[in-house]
Amino acid sequence: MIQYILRRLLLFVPVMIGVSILTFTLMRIVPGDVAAIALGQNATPEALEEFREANGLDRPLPIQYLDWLAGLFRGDFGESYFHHSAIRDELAHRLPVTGELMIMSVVITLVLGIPAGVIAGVRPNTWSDYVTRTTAVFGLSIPNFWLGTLLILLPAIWFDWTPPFGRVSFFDEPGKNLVQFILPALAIGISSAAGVMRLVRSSVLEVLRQDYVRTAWSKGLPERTIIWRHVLKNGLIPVATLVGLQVGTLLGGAVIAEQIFALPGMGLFTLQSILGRDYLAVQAIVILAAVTYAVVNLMVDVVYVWFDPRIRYA
Amino acid sequence: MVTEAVGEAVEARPASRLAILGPLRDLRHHPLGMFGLVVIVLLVVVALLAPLIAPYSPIEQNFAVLDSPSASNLFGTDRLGRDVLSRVIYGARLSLGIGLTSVFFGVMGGTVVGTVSGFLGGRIDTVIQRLVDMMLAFPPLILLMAITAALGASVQNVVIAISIGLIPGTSRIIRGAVLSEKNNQYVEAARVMGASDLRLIIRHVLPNVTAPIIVIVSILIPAATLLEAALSFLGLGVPPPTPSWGADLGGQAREYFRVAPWMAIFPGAALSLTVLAFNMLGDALRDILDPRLRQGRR
Repeated sequence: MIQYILRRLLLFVPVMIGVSILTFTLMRIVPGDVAAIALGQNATPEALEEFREANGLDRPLPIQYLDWLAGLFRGDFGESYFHHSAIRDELAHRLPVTGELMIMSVVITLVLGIPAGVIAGVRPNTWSDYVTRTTAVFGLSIPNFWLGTLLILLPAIWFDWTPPFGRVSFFDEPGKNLVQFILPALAIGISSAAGVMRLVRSSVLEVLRQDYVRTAWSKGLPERTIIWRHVLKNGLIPVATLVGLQVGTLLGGAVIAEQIFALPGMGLFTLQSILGRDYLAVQAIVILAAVTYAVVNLMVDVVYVWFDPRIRYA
Repeated sequence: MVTEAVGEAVEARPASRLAILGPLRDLRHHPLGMFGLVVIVLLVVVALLAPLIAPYSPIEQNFAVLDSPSASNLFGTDRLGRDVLSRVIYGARLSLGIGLTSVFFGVMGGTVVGTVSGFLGGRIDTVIQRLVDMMLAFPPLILLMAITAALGASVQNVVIAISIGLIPGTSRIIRGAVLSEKNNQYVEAARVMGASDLRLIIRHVLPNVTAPIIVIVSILIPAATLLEAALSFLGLGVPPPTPSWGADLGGQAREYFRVAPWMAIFPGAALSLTVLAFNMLGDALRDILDPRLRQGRR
């Protein structure tokens, strides 16, 4: 097992190097001179030159890349051209925000998706099945930014209530913190929940047809035991994969939700950095996102073994 | 998620060269899919005939600003005094146009890459698949944001960005389908008879991967539509004043939603309806093309 994990981690390396080269190149093709944007339109040519020199932008691209890569290994992401602070510090402030958002949206995904999928799958083609399935199609179809907008707009119109924008720490004001996060997490979690619901439904349907479930019935076990003990345990295995794959989508959703709900997290930082041509910041974000994605999916594969003892990694 | 759903469909599929017609005929038995198809046809008609149907220009600022819905402006007016209904109608052009063209190019690119990779195998396959790994390591929206930022905001560049974004996932699925197809005996037989690689691919392999391609397209069209809207929402997509449902929901317009909710409701509802229709049609098609899923319906 350990060996398997190590081998997977080793495989990350070439992919991550590729990702870093790709991001680096992409950010250099971006039109717009970072010096001109950072210093404003009235900057003199000398000032621009000085800025480029100070930030190492006048050196050949391969050198810039290697320099940046060397920094990464020291945990140094470089300095943001605009915030004039180390990107590492910026990330340290913002990661917890997006982390909390991610966790809450995964919780919403599972808490809504799994029970709904079970309800639909256990009694196929009844009204409860139709209702949950129809809700799921709607959930998949509603764009997260519109849902987020409605979640702010409708309470404001109907109850004259707006959620407290921005972000307070969970440890200072837990109640307020949860209120601040629940709506954005809903906005980006609903479609994942709908996806999970469908997967759980088809997976439950399939497991219900298995011989061991028939055996459980004929033993006279109560339905609840069968569902919990036999059906769910086997039916949930593919859900882990789906949630792992959805992390990428959720990260994209964070960009949108943080923009709508004014959460100072990674998503907002991404948008600002891309718009501001803040090369180093974008590079850092993309690398982090790719690493997160890869690690989560590795974790999913490891969790598999725990779910399903039949699976062994050589 | 895309990979998941398609993976299931890939294995099952007795294919004929006219694979698209069969499923459409079977649609009769799928009321929701039929509903989706009807809505899509209506949307296409609206998009094509936008200049005839829209009561006013979507761009000219003809009216009082932030006027609530009335007989003359059914969906109200926006912060610049433009007719929201006309913008929603023209928005269909853009949304469907970008959704369909980018899926066309993306799936075509993905099919070429996937077929080459799967059919030729060997070192070419390895290199292509490692590149695909890299592309798939990016969160999709962030990759697209970077590409559109690099290319600049325009309709054409949004199409390019989304098409590029769709290629890696599509190619991986097609590669899988091609791999399982190319070792079949009929391909072997054709090869023995002296058919060239190109002929094998075009005459024998590709017709038999039509079913997964249809499934991919049915999943990607709503996804691409949402991506365009999300990019435009973030200000990285279609530049103003082009009417785009996504763009109309983002940017400065947001400051006026509280006083003029119709500015937010109608474009969002149009977008959701479009995606919903494509999803319903896609579900029905997947149901028809994948016998394994059908068992679940009993």
